[in-house]
Amino acid sequence: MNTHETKPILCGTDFSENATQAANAAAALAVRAGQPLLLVHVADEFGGHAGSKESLAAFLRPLRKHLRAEAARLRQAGAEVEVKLLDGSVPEKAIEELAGTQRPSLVVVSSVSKSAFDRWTLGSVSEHLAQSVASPTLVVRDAAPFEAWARGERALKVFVAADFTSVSEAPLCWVAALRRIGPCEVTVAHVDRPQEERERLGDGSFTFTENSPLVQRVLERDLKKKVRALLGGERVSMVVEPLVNRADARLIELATQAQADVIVIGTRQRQGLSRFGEHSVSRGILRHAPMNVVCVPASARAEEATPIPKIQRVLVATDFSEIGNRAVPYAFSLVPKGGTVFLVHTTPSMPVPGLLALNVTGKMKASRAEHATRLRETSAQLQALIPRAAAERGVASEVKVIENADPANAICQAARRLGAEVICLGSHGRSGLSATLLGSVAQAVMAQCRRPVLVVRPPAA
Amino acid sequence: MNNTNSKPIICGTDFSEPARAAADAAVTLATRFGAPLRLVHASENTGSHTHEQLKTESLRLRDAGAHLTSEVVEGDADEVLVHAAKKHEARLIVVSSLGRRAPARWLIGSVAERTAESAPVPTLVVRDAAPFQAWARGERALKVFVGTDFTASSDAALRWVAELQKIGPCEVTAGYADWTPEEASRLGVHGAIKLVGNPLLVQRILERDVKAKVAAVLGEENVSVVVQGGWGRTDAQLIGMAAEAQADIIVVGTHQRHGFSRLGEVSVSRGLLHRAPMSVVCVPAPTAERMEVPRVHEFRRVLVAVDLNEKYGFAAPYGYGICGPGGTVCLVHVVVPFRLPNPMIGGYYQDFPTEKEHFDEVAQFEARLRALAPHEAEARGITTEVEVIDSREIAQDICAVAERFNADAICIGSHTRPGLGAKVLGSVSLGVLQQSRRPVLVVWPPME
Repeated sequence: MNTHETKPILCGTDFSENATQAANAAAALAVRAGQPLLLVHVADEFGGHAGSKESLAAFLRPLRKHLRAEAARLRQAGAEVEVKLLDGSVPEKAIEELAGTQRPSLVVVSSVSKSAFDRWTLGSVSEHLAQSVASPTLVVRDAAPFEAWARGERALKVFVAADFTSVSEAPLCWVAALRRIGPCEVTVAHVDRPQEERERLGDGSFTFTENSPLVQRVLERDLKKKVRALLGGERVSMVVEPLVNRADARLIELATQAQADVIVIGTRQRQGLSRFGEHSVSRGILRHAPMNVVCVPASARAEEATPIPKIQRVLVATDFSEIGNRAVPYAFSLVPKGGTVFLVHTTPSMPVPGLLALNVTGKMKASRAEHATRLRETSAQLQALIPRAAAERGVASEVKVIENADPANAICQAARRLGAEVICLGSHGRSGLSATLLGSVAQAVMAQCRRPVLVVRPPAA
Repeated sequence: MNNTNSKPIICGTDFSEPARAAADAAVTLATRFGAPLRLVHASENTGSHTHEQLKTESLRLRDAGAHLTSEVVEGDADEVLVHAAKKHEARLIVVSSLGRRAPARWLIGSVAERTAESAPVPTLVVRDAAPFQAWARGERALKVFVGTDFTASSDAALRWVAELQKIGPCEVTAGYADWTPEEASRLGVHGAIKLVGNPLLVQRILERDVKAKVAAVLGEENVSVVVQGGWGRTDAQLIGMAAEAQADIIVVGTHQRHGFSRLGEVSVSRGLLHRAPMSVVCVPAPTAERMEVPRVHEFRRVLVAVDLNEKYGFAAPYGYGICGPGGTVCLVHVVVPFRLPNPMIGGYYQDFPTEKEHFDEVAQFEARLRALAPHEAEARGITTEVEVIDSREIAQDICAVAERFNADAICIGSHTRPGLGAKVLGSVSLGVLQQSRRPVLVVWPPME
């Protein structure tokens, strides 16, 4: 949070019991971070006193007093507090507006105090803020852990929900900043849908309610990589769990198991119609979690310059044509010392003799033997493509022969399985009319996979 | 290395005066290379007279200090020479320049030409042995002119010159003769083109690129680079440049096109063999089966096409990611070109940007491009260049910038459109992929 030093922490209060909790937590954070605290109350009945100055003053006086008293209480905890009395009939709108001008590092509000029916019809202040303010929003349910943390008595137990989209980058960065101002025990959790993952990774095992070893391994590796890049690898425990039902419920369950003080989650802040299209995990957690929740909007990270992506693993696919092989040295040129290049060739799987044919077992055996030889030969062929310079550059290489009739799909799945950051492909530039066409495999890979693709074209004559 | 030292030099002779000169040159090269020399005579009738002549010639050459074997083979001279080169894994074939004049040459073709076009090894066609002899005696450096372009065959020629440099002092001039209109369109340099010479920008870019290419093989010292633009034939231009450099030999790569493909393109090497007044070395381009395992080059110059209007800066970090330390990244943004307003249309002037506004906008974009450079770039020694171009043909002009910048790779962000199931390559990225011969890294926006 060093970068936001001058930015205040904004805390909204309605002087209720819950709001006091929120203010306490906000003060604890402000003390830790060395940031000023801006305590805000929204007086929502200005309109009723529009006619007379005296009645308005009489209406505002107790509120001011209240606010000042609250500020004084928080100052005792060591926080630097400013107060502000806002005019607005809708509290969340007034706070949102203030947040727009003040750009606080954090907005702190208490958890919902309305009844379920009210919430259903009116929505809650905290939920609205979490969905609309550009700063992270902390919704406080229990201030005690923050206070104990601020006093240095204990580490804060933080539970971060992460996936592999850009949305979860912001929460991880926020936690990294939080760790800088005080000790935190961080758990990062990812929940996945096993069936989707198996399809994505091309895993043929039959598991539906739990992750196959391959899926588990790949997800753990990818999560670790992401966490290490954004949060630093030390003192973080990681959880990857399969999911059959709703993600928000499962995450709350995991957070409860981890005895977390606070759940940190990213939010897309969908507005208007797009809000209905997808189920919001953050909103579900905000409503149902029994502990404190921080919602970090994806835009909170957009201001920072993106770091240079590390390219450590590159997949290069070749069909052994001259053009396909040309891509291989480029793959090696992408990887710095210590990286790995995976050379991949896809081949159709073993031909199976018809069941009605004579001597099925014999034919099967022959076919299997032939196939095994072919695979061996192909590996040797791939091995021969590794440039001599690879070893000098300190780049490791691995060859993989993949049996799949659909090369593009096989390449994409292999890239995900192997965690390749970049896919490298040769593209056929045919002469004459079709010279400007792009190879079909290259195009299909680009259509199916989100990873960057380096397309190597044949040279001019 | 012992292995390469024992690779022989094959010299063809018909005992004529030019053939003797060729043999003299071959002897000097053989001694310098420390390679054995094979003197080959091809003849239809292998009589005793022929053997006699060959013996006399080999005695003469042995006196000159060559480690020599000789043979007479029945057959056509060029076929015999090529066959011998293949059989003995020769390093070089040396023949004399053609003695025949135009009509006969046209009908029959010359041995030198046909050898150069089919041999798997370089062919030296000797016109004057004196420079080689003076060079062998250590009296002077050999003046070598090497014709380059940006193809694999010219790389082979440069590598051959590098070998020559190892065995004796050479003054190397690398020449690039370009066809100005083609280069101007490739580099996206518009405007009038003079009849002689390149536009200044084209000349500067070509000099830089040729220098870099030559330096990669020969090193930066002891090589001068000449670039000359023109509308004429490449071979004639190269001969002119070589004559100006007072070269003793011209070295060029040859594609060795056969059959119909030979008719399609003008062969520069053939033109040189016909007309050059000095000795010529034709180095065959590495073919698929002769291709070595390609070398790994780090990307030193990466061009990133950025669309600032659409938050498409996400490609920039990848551009830096694939750029090797000490490299250069060029960030390019495309703006709609400044158009002259039409005075006939009323009210058109109102929302039309003035020239100043347009340039202000460009300056703003440049500043925003600079802001895209990651902090670590400096630590990695990567320098950033920015360029804002006016363009309507965006893909084409991005390719032209890549040519101007001499990018090792182009990095481009592609669009994903909401609602479409599969991702569709944006028209610009597809255009760049289709039009550029350079490697293209296509980056998708981060998943949300």
